[in-house]
Amino acid sequence: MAKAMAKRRRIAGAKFWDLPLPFLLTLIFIMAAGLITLYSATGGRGPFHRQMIWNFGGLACMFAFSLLNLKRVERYCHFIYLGALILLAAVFVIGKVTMGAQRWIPLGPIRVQPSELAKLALVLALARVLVHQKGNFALKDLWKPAVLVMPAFVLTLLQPDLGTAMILLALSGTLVLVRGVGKRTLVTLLALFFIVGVVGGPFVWSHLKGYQKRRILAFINPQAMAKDAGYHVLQSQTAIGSGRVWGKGFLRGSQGRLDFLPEEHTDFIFSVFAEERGFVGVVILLGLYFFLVFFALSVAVEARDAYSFYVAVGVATIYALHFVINVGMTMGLLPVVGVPLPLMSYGGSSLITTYLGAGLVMAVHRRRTG
Amino acid sequence: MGIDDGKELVRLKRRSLYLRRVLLLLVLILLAKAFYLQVVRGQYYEERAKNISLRKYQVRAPRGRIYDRKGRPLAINRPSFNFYVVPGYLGKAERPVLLENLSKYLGLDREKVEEKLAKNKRGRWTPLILKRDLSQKELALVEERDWLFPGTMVVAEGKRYYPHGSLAAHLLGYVGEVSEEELRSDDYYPGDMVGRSGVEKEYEEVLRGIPGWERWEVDAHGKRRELKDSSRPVPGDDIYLTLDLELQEVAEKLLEGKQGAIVAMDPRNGEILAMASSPGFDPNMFVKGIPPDEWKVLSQSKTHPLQNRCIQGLYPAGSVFKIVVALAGLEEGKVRPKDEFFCGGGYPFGGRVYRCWKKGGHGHVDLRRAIVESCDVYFYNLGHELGVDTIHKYGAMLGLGDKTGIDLPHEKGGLLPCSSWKKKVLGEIWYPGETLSLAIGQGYLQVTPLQLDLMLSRVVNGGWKIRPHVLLKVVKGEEERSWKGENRKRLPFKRWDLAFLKDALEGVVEDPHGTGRAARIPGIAVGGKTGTAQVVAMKEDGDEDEELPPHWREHAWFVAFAPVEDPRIAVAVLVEHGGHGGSTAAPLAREMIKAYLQKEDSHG
Repeated sequence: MAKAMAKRRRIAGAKFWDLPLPFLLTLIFIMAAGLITLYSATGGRGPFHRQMIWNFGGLACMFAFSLLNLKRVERYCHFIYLGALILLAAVFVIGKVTMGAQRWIPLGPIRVQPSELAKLALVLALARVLVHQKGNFALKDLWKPAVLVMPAFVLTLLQPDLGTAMILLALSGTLVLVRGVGKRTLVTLLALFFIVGVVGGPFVWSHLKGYQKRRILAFINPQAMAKDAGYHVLQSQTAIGSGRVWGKGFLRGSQGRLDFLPEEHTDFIFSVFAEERGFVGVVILLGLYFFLVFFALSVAVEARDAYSFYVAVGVATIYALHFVINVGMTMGLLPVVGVPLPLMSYGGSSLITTYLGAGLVMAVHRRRTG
Repeated sequence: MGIDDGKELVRLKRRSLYLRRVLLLLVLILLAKAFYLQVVRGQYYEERAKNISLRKYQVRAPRGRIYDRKGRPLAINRPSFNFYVVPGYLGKAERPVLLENLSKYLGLDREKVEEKLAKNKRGRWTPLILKRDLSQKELALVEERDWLFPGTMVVAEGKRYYPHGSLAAHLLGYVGEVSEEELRSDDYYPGDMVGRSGVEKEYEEVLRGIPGWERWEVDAHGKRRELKDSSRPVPGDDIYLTLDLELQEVAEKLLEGKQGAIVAMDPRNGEILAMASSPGFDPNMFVKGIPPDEWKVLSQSKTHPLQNRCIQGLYPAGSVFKIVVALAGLEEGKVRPKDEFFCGGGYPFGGRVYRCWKKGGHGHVDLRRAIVESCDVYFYNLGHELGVDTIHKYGAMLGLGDKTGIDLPHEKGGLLPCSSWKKKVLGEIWYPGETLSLAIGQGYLQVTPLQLDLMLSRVVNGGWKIRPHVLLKVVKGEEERSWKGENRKRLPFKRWDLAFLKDALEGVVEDPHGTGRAARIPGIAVGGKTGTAQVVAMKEDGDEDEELPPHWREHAWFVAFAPVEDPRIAVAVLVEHGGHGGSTAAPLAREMIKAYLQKEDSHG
């Protein structure tokens, strides 16, 4: 009884400065590393200044979001998700095509990439479905999360944005697994994936765009494809490798600066960092990312209710998937798909989404159990 | 909500701890790969990075071309080879070698190159231009003996070329290398050529295009080995001007050896048909970078060759301004065509005598004769009755005293005085005597040749408020965008007044006593008006011009239009220090009209 009273008091008296400090500090360290690297990659002109503005805007959004009452969010989460889907569909009507894919909505001077926001919206909606799931997922219960994720998945796949589509799927899978899946269901699912992979693989392959095929081929054998798409990977590996243990130093990277990849300050920012900071820097940076996710999960563990818990885990999963896939692809561990490195890649939509997610984590922290 | 408070939540949270382990595993895999790349294979990749790297180079967009109204080229791009250096490749060993060979073989000043390298703010990997437009010999040298020039490269690029040299130079303008200032924005890249005056400046945005890039695999010395991928530049849009090349040629020939300006316009729509200013210059000089001493000569010469006199030269309008005063008098009802004033050769006012140009006087003159014979006394009378502010009102409606808004940079607005202007700027009240000077186009009045041409056009085209322009259309591939003027507005003048003025102006040229008889063309009805712009203060005595030193002599004006019934061309001619407009300027206007209308007739 006394414990319940204390809990209530704690929630009611949530102070503005009641922040998850380790999480916030890690985030700011990564942000700083990102800005310094971007400065080096672009020579400190337009993109750097814009990124700076995005960062400050993002921080402001983060603090605003941290004041949210997730109980209220839970009530409206389906509308939020519906809004995100509408934006995703709108891309096809008024979208801008870059690099063979339609991902942007022009909004005055800025371009909005709705697929970034869709990830957060999915977490908010999916969390509610999981809350209402009684007991472990049986096979027949899976239709609910499947129906939820399907429209977003299909819309991003059609853009085509393979990376984001896969992340949406992996994100839902992770959350469903955390909720709990019966053993028999798990085995059936694995078998199903295997069959779909064998049968559906060739089908999917024939429907991939040219640049996607080249990227996958390049992943399988970068040396053979070095003349073509493979040089992205090879050149990225060269940049990373040539940094050796201590790195070449700030502004000293010869591979990374401006010239070597089409997306040098977006998707391949990690290569620039690794070239200039060496293995030591990579250890520190990956450590920071690890702790970012780790601290987000710590907040989840303190969550007051299941909905908050799922939201925090969802955000942590988004972060983890992004940095693992992005770093993996720059090093040649994964095929090149357009997945940004959170807080470091150039681009407003990705940054804002990252900060909004952080805001949700902080909101969970603010109303935690004592 | 059993899940919230029970063991369920605790179980859930415990399960989430697995996520940490998975995460740790993934991070360790990433670190292992990084260890492999950076530590185990670090040396290999370091070697590879030294020997092969990819460089992205900007590819300049071809500048849009400029044509005359019939599609004859006025400004095009010629192939040329430019010589660049990438500072990033200049180590301690390479730098002295390059500097020495540059001065030895290409005659480039060592200190200037050093200065250029030191001033570079765009980073070590941005190519800097060393020399534009290499000759065949130089090209062969730097290509064959490339070891003499480490870190350099030759790029084939378009070079602005004006095939007709100085023709229409003031109108076209010229291009020059981008300045440090402009480089601070992201719009330009070192070595870009930017429009500096005329159409080149006015339509810079249109002509510029969007640069592309090429990604090259280069070796350790920066030599290009293989093109990896590229994005093609988007060429600038082509521009068609309203200018008629042949008429422009005629205009410039007429001004040869003189200082002055000729501007011709289609009075129906404001299209500029010719715009010549003398002396001129050859814009090709600016493309390669003009030597400082030549620049000094051009920019400091007393004859101002860089100035476009048509839009920047300011002169009193002289008797041409009588058109404005006559129109004001008719419109305001201050005078009827048949009303007469007596001219005895002078007009006593305020204790002095304002003289007519004709010493003996014109006798009794009505408005038509006053215009035809340009009687000053008549207009002293009329001007006095109207007052300065009424004259100002009509002058302003006809386009004087303010920029015409032509699509060219650096236009001057001139000065059309009024009483409030004088109060504000000079802090004095307006004296009625000054109105008399204004009535015959002297005093404070300052106009450009273009403004006078516009004034005439608005009178003879039936009062349509046209705006002069030089752009005919912009062509982008198959797409065409034509000049879009604002909605046509009509000035509130009475039709019969305008018709009367047109008839009087025809009389200037056709009547036996007309001051503009030198502009007569058999078979074509021409109208016009002479003018003489005083250079020094009004003379009290009747000295003949010929006795004055040339730079004190008056400027000669003539404005003309033809054919009178439905004018298709309106010309303004100004000859600096040309004396009387009727004798010096009128023949030039005649030649312009003849050339234009006869050619038009023969071409249909």
